Amino acid sequence: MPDDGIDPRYAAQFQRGYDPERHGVTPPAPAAATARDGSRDAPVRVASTPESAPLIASPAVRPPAPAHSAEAEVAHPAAPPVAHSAAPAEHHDTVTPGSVLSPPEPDEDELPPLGPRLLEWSLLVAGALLIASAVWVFWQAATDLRGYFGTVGGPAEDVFLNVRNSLPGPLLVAGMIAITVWIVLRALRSRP
Amino acid sequence: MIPRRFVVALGVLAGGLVAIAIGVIAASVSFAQRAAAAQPDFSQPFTEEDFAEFAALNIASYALVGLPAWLFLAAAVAGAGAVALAVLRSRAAASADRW
Repeated sequence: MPDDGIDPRYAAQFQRGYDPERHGVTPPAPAAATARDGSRDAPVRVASTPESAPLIASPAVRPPAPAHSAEAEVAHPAAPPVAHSAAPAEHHDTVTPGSVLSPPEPDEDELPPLGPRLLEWSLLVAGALLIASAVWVFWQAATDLRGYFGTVGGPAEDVFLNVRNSLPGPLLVAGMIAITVWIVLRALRSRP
Repeated sequence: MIPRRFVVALGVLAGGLVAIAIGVIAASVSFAQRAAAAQPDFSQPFTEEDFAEFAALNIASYALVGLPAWLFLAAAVAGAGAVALAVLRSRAAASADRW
């Protein structure tokens, strides 16, 4: 049986969506390619470029500029707001790589403000202040001889001395809790 | 994963507090011994300076007596934080091995 070539419908143009009724150009038969190149498997060129699928815009596409959106509003007044983001995708030759692939520029609101950064270190500062005050109160209580000699001014000063004698321990523990929580929070925040 | 330095920092903090507590206990005992040695003989006339030294040592000794308990409590807080971070670290490592 003589080899009369491959059925033209199996040509690569048909795999890319070529339709003779719609495009109106008859694709060259593989026999023509055989005659031109001498190889039956050589690629076959058609007169018109097959239509490619339209580019779908990425969700990361930035919103269009105000001027561009105004033009689109004039061109499509009845289009819903969602169609604005999809409009560049319909005209795939107008989509620039920078508008699709570039990450959005950070707004000023997304920058870490000064408040949380100060709050992050305030726990350590508070813990250090608590421990320092504990040491100071303990030193005052350990070197004050008035209570030992009974030369306290009155009930109010007696209560004050008792409170001062009781303060260093709780202050020390509070400071250590603050520093421990600060370290734990930093450790949890450093996790990727 | 949580960096190891945070766990080490809390562990060092807890260990340091325990060491300070033990030192405070030793200092308190030492002050008490010195106060007992400096105790004036009340059957004999004594100077005010002798009694002031005895009082200062006594007060320091009693002030130090209550401190180790708080230091041990603070060490327990830091140690609990170190253990919590170590547990989180081990869980993260186990999760990474699983996947």
